[in-house]
Amino acid sequence: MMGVLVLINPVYAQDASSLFNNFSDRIYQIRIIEQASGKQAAIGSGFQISQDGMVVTNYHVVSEYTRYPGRYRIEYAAHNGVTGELQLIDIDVINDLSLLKKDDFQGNNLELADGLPLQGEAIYSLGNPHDLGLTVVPGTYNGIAKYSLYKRIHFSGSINPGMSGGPVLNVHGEVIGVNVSTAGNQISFLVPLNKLSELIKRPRSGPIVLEEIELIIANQLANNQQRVISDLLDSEWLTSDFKGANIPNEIAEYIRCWGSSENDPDVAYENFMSICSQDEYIFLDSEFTTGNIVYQFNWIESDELNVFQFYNLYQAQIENVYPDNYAGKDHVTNFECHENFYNKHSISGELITSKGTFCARKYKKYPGLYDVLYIGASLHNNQHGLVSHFTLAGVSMDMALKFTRKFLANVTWN
Amino acid sequence: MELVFQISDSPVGAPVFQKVEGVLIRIGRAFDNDLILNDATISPHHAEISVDEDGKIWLLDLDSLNGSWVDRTQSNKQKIELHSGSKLSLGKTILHVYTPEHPVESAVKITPVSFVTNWIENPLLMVSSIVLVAILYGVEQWLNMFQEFKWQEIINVELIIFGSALSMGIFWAIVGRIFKHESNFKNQMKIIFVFIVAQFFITKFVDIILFNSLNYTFAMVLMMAVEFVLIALLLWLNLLLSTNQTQEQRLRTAVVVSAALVVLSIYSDMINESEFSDSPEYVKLLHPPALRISDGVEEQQFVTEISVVFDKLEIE
Repeated sequence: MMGVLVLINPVYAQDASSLFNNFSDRIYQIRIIEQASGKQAAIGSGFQISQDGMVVTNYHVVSEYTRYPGRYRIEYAAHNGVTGELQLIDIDVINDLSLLKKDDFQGNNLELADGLPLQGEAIYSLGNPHDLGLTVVPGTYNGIAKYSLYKRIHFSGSINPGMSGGPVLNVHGEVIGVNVSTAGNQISFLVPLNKLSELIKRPRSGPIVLEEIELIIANQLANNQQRVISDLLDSEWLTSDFKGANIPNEIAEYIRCWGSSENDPDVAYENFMSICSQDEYIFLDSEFTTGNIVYQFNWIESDELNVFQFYNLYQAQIENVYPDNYAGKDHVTNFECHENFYNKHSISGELITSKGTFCARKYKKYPGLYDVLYIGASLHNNQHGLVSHFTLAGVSMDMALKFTRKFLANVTWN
Repeated sequence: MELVFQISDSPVGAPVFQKVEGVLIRIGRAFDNDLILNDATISPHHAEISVDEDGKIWLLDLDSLNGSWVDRTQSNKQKIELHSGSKLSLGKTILHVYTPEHPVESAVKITPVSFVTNWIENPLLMVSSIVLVAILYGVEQWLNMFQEFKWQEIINVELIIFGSALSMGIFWAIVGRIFKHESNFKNQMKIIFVFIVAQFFITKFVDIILFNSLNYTFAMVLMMAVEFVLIALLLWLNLLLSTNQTQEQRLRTAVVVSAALVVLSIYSDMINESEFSDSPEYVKLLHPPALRISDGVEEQQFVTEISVVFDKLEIE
């Protein structure tokens, strides 16, 4: 009877159950414990990666601890119920990873794979979803996600809250990535193997010094934005015609553009929109994200409205501008802005005057970094106009100014 | 003996002055009195006033039902001395007694204020200001419509404007009734409508200046200053009509009260503004090319000057 049952079981279930049995002792639940109450404030998953007790999880699992080290401690809970304290060793906020260490040098560890699987191969995500106990989720490796700036793996399978930081294994039981986020409907993302091995191999003299953590994060953010923005500045930008103007299109392989237009027959005007963005933000804490690159254009035109009606409509387009990242008063200052009218000539020689507003706010904990936004509106015609807008989150002043210069130079008029 | 009675608590109209002569002045509701008061709480023969050899004036209550008071003392079967300016309470009626020698304030000079109040009396003002308000706000609403034309939207805006004007008028009419015993409702409404017209044009004008100013702080200061002047002026006119316009002290009180109100509103605005905001503050106005005064700078120049934003952030 038993033999028959085994025969009709699908092959992957066999693999999943044996993986689970073989490796469940190397996977932990990571708990952020509030010191005063002794209760857990956040949970995630993690796994042991070396014989000397090194444990990997996501940065966002331990972010509350890094923000208020005195208020929390980090704990692991093993599959068999054993719990113990963990020490924070290192972090990588860009790739959402953190390295912890078990005080007692015990337990087996998972091995890193030599390389990534082939597209379509079965892979297995492990973790502790919604505090329900260790769970294995089989799915498919689908390569590096197409528009991913940080080269996340596209995993076709369900990752749920609580599984963050858990390992993803190939059929041999080797780590190929770390659970990080989901877009729902079986679309999930993993931090790839190479980012993990870079963090593990990074030379370090000892555990992270908690007093220096803001400086470490600031350096990681600064280096990353320097790399990302200077790549954008060095490259030739793809532009395309947009009604009477020519505007930046997908200026990097990780940026995606969407278009739309308002075509309600009751409306006496047309509004064409192009919005381009980089969709991966960098998580700093539950109220603070950064790393966004978003730019948007609206072309408004009407031959039915009179000039005052048109400008009332046009003005409404610039009245509600917000940055695209989340930040609170603990994290950033208020915006400061500079406004002026500026001129440029169209290809046909017409003088185009625009009103430009450039605003920036300073990061309070990470010196030298700013969120910047620009909003511009052409003011040369009584029946049409172009609104240009961009947000850069977490950039240096130098990069912000150079990007603005290039952005404005790449908006031209036919 | 000759006395002047100011009957100030009569249920209708402004205070009445009445001069009465005689050795003995009898006060009551009956027709054989020297001063006849039409108040149901006053007895037919309520009180009498007499003068003695020394020229002192005395009030005697004639065992009336509700009693007689001089200032705060009750005349209880005994005479109470009166002075020029004494307040008498008989039943519900309040009287002031003056001798003919009692000093009066000197005449108030006719000032521009009187011209304003005379101008307000013009009957054409009401009709013309109402029509103007209706047209201005109708047109403004029409210019804000980007879709199918809808009469309801214009009527809605008009209803809001006229409704709030009406409630303001009623408020000041009530204030006027309390202070001066005349409501002046029509004149209050005229002031409010003229104010609405003036505010419409002034804010449109200020709007164009702000659009060209390109400086949020300047824009805010200018807008507050304009609001200050407009609100102070309106309150001052309302108070002027509602209280006694011949007393300069009241005019001064009106200005002080209105200024205080405006300062208070600016202060509460400032408190709210110091909080953290996600949204940048800039001049959120766009106007047609014809209303732009500044020529603007070259794009390169603009890109260079935006770095001042970072200097401002460093200063904070």
